[in-house]
Amino acid sequence: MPASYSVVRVAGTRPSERRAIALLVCDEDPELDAKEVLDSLGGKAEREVRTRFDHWIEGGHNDRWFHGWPNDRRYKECFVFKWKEKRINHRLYGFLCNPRPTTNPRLRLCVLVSHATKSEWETDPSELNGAEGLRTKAPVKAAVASAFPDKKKELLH
Amino acid sequence: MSSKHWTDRSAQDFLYRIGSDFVSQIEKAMEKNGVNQAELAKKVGVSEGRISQLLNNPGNFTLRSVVQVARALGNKVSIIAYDDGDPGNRNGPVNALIFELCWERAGRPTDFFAAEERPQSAYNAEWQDLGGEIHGVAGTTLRAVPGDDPDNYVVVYDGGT
Repeated sequence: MPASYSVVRVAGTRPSERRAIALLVCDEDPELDAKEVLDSLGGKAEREVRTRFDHWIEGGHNDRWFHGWPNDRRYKECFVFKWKEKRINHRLYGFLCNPRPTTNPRLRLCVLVSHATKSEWETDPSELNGAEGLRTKAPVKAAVASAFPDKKKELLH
Repeated sequence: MSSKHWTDRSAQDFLYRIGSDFVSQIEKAMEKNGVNQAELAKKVGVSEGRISQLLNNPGNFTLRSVVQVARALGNKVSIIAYDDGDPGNRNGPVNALIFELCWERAGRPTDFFAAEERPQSAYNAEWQDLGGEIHGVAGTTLRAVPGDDPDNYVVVYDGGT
């Protein structure tokens, strides 16, 4: 049976015409653990991650908090949010897309897919390969489109 | 969670978020001044551990420690209450850097007189070379220049025969 994906917005973030953050969920794929990890955060770590989400949504820049790989042809639509808790480096990996090219060409949606802890300088390519693979997968694209429909306003006659 | 912003959950959440904005500004000032945490701790008169606690957990700031840290870096602090048309806090706080950006663009006024006057730099920045020329008059250029009323500009042309 094919895996079924769904996309849920991260609750409690600022509504914006320019940026949004969502989570990719699939019960059949335990690798997609971004939502589970985010839901499990509490206290300072949760506030820290939400503050970093806010900063990206409002158009801020901070490479220590989040970044993409715009100069890497393989991963130029991949994205990561970062934080540290108890000396462990945490990462939430995902991909960028625009599910509303017709009604909102400026929208950038970050769909977070997986969590990893990082001890090496280099990013584990399997995380980026995973995110990039999901970005182009038809059922994932359908799930994104369902959560963020691209509807034109009906003309009133 | 409701449609409200996460900082609406509690005062502690709101404090953490605006404290984090402050930490971003402090880290920028530390980098600009070439000051590390140990040096900042010495300037403030606290332990390096205390500075680390503050910078790593912005919810720990008190008004006193905000002033102490900012002043140790030669900066000042203001407390601003503002109405952004979002009393239900759906959008979260406006980032402190936005206020700083607006203040910079207004010419960094430090009193009400300066705030009411439009700075010359703003005029200069808004002089526009409109390009083109007056129809049928060769060699003219069109420029918008500030008039007596700072909200209106006068279009003038140069040159022409």
